[in-house]
Amino acid sequence: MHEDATYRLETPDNVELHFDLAGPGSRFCAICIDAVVVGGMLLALVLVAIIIDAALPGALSAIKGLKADRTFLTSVGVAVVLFGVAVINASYHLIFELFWRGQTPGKLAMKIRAISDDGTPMGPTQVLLRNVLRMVDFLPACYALGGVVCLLSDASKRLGDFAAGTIVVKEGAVNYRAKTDTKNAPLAAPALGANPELLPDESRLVQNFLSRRTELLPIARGRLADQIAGPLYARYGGNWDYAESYLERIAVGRHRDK
Amino acid sequence: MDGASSTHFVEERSSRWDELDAIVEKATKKGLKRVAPAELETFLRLYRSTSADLARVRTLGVDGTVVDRVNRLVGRSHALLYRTPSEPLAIGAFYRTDFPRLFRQTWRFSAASVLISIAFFLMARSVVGAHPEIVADLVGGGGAEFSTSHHAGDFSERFQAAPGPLITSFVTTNNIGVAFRAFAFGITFGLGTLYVLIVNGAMLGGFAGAYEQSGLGREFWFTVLPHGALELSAIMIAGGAGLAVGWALWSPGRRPRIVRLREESLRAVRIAAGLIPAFVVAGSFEGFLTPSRAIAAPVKVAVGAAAAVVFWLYLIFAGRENAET
Repeated sequence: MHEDATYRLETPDNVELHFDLAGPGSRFCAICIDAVVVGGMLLALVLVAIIIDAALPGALSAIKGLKADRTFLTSVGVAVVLFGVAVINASYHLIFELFWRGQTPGKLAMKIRAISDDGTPMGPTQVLLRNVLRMVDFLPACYALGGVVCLLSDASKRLGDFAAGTIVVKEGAVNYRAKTDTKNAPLAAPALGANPELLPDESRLVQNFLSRRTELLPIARGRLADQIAGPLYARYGGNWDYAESYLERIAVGRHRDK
Repeated sequence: MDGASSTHFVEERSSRWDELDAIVEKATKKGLKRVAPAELETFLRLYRSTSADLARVRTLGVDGTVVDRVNRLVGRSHALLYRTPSEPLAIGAFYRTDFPRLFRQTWRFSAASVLISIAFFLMARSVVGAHPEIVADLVGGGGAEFSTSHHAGDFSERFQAAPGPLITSFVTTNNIGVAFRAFAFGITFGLGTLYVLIVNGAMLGGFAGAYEQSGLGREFWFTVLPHGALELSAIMIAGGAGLAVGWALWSPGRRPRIVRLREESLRAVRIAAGLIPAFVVAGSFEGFLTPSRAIAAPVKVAVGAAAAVVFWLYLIFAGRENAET
């Protein structure tokens, strides 16, 4: 069993990359969302077919001299719908994973992505294979087999992932590409004029808190600020108004300012 | 190294990381090919230095978000740099050479698949031939009832009742489904594939036996062969692809099963996918050729057989000009 959900990859340039693996839970949620989206698409297809079926005879009889063979038209319509259903079912995951680089609407919503074992985007054959094997992972119902295999495997892989050489990774709670918190921007970039008085550990603690405080619940944020600032104040003194303000100032050596 | 110098390090490198990030962002959106050569050199230089930085920030023990940021940045650069050169969505080249070669590389498994199918076809046919009462289980109603209610007219009538496009659409998608199933269940050490092949062969054998018993053998084969020759060939080849995967799991040789599974299934899935056009052709035959009243039955069979022969010749001979890989 795996102790943590990190996939470590040694690149050809001897760099170790770390990927956070997506667990069976988030993957199943993604599948459910995708199922809803597919259901919506199928419903839309059928509705369009019904509307056309209702409107077409009138439209055709409006054209002079054209007598439509109703049975034949209906059968063509049903054939198109059947074909459409099959195409949507078979190609939904294929198309999205191919053109959205390993994501589907469900995976996008769950912030996860399928990539190749070697950290690169999947090739077309890999996308095809992992999705053809869905039907095996699905067995006997609701991805039971895939789920169990995923739980037991080191890298959270279902059978399709094993065969295609793919993994599913989290895009990350700390999204580097997200907009930075502009209000706290000068403090989120911790290096500016760091306080040389502080010990390395203290400095790191303060920086970590400041750069991550917006992710904390207010109550936890306040308590944590007190816990960090209290001992620092006892040691370095300065001007105390409230904990977080003190931490902001001591980080840059201005804790004595009024 | 103390905290001050580690923050200093982060501060010093930040601008390079931003620069690399900008290039990666651009290249991910537009593709690496659209990036100017000069910028590409910058990209490579920055990728190397940032890779080194990643190792540094991990050992320096700087803020976790910084490590995470650099890790992500190197990961995305790596993905750009080592992306497999856009693999053949080149369908033309695939059918000119790759597909028939893939078939020939795994021909033993296709042969096994054909033999298994034929064996169970013959078995079911002779069993039903010897014990006509089994027909009752196959189609419902007693054997006698079967032979009286199914006369020649009825049989072809059944095919003519449903319109062509509907049959083609249904049959084609269904057959492609069967083919992919036969392939996919290769991962069950081939057992699932065997099951698909046996059911497929025995079903056809059972019906053949039943109709021949009722003196309708000729009609049966005239109705099955025009589309069936190509369709059954393709399904058996898909089964061969599944058996190839299954065999790699039974007998992986000296390498780990997981590696053999990956190799074989990545190869075999391309065979299964390559069969799709064959199913479309067979499905069109089934929708339009088989039920046609205008074409004589022997002509239909001849067309179907010709299509199958062309298909097999293509698989055996196409793409041989250059050295086989």
